[in-house]
Amino acid sequence: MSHRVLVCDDALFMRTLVGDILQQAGFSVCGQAETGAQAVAQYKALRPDLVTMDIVMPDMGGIDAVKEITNWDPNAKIVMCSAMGQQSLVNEALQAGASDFVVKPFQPNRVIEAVQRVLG
Amino acid sequence: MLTLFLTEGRELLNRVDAELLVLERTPDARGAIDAVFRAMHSLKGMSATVGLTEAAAALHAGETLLAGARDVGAIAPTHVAALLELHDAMCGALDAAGRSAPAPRSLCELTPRLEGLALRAPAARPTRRYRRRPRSRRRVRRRCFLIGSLAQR
Repeated sequence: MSHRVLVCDDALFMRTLVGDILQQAGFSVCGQAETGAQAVAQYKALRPDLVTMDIVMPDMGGIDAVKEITNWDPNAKIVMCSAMGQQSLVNEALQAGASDFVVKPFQPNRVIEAVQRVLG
Repeated sequence: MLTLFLTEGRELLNRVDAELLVLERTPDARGAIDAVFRAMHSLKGMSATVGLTEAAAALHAGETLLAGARDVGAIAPTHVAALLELHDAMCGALDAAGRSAPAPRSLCELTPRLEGLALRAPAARPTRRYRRRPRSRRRVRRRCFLIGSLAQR
């Protein structure tokens, strides 16, 4: 059975892109979220194997969502998707419990490598 | 994906326009500053992904300007004017991308100016008001105001 991934980004364009990359690599996109609050709720409802998480989102940012998810499930596997110029926020996310990160604009291979590495 | 980029990009620019109008009247509207920042941030990532590097660089400079505004809790009128220019240049860039044409020169010229503004402290008063294209709501609104003022005399 393929691994189930929750894709979180406030931009539909980015969610579609990440979803396409993952599906072409054989992963299953079990859900999408466009805010941090939605990401937390979707995580609890869907229990995905992995989450891809944007950092800047409305309502609740990606870092706070990582904190809430890892508080609820310390074994959660989360890959951050950040834009250029967000190194300090990426570090904060890693300290909050994220497992890895990719920087936009990302190459499909880089996304798949990060996801596969985190899933072990 | 280009169609999706153009559609969502225009939606984000509409949001930027609406929130910048709020910031023209209320420079310390924190929600508007955050909303413009998020919209420009999203558009930056999307632009970089489709290869619009000039657009991504200009938006990054705009984002830096807004990060400064977030820090001080208000945005200077000169910065709002510069961001309105960026908005208009980005509208042109999306139109150009739809025609597979290069980014407009105005966008490339804007980046160093935005970077320069971001390096300086926020201006207390506007030094020059940015004039938008005649069809813009701002121009129409200004014209309505002037007509109203004349009618009262």
